[in-house]
Amino acid sequence: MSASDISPDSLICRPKNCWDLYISFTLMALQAFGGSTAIAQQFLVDQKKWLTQSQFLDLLTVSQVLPGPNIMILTIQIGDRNFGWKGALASFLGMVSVPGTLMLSVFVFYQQFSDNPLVSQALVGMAASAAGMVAGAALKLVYNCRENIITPPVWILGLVLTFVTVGVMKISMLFILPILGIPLSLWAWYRFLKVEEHHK
Amino acid sequence: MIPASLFAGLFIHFALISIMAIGGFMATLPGMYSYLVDTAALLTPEQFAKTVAFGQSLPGPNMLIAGVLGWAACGPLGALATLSGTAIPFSLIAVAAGRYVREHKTSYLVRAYKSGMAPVAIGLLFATAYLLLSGDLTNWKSVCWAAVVTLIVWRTKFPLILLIAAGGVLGALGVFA
Repeated sequence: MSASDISPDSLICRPKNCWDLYISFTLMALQAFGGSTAIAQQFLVDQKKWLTQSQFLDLLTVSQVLPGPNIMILTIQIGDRNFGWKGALASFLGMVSVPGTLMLSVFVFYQQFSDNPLVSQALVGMAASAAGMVAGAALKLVYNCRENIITPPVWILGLVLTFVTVGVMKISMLFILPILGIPLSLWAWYRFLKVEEHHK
Repeated sequence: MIPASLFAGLFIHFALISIMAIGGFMATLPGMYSYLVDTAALLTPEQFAKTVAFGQSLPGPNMLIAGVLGWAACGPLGALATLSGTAIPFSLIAVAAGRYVREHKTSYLVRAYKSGMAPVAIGLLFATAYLLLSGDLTNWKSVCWAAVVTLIVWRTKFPLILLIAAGGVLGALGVFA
């Protein structure tokens, strides 16, 4: 057994088949009450072990620049990389069929008593939990900065600038993604070339 | 039954909104609002807000809110139009982009992109957490609760569904009021 065989990536499990994808993502979607990035991280990395933290970060990074909901893009891509378009379809249906049916059937009843104050107070608490879950998920991913080619100071600067511009100043992501993403990617490119030069 | 022109209108509008929206489902809400409330006048502003709040209170990806909005506007066929309009374009793009990235994972372009964008991706998560709270950042009780949840999620593998449930129960008991 070579060293690469015992790298963390090779200890990763795979979904058994499309049915496994469908059932797993149905269960995951039924737990997602907001903060779905945190739910997906715990489910895929800790429970199913289909991804490492760093693979999860890779997929999340890709999904954030594509149009559409991150969590859906993530699950569709996991389905596709395991079983092609059938896997993508199974993942998609897992995410929407049962939760969608549930949501629409409850909606028919809900239209009658939507003014209940108990419901809106509970929603405030659930939103606070969701906020904490997403922040916790983000903190777990910060560890990956050690294996990133761009040095920690630049890395942290990019993170803080993104948080301040999108979160605090509420500037649209459509502006922030290219403004911060292109210089950071070019810096990473430059670092890759430097490292390669060094090895020569 | 809804007329075919309305079905097509819903489908096309929601498809366009979904393709334009980078930054998660919540970024698509203004576009849906402008079509359903202002242009087509299928929902009142109050109905729109309540439907979105309802959708967020149930499990499942936020994208399903598009379906509930379609149902509220035009019944089951409306839901079919808005859901398929939202889902089909981005799903095809996701598969194509995923394949491209996998096939080129050793190229400098893809590696530089992933490395450079990683801090932005994590910064966006912190921004999302902040936005989920910013409705009541002055409410120190809910900020404290969020901080406790952050610590638990960061340091332990405690089941997240229980944290959501605990937040809901505390809220219903009036702790954050």
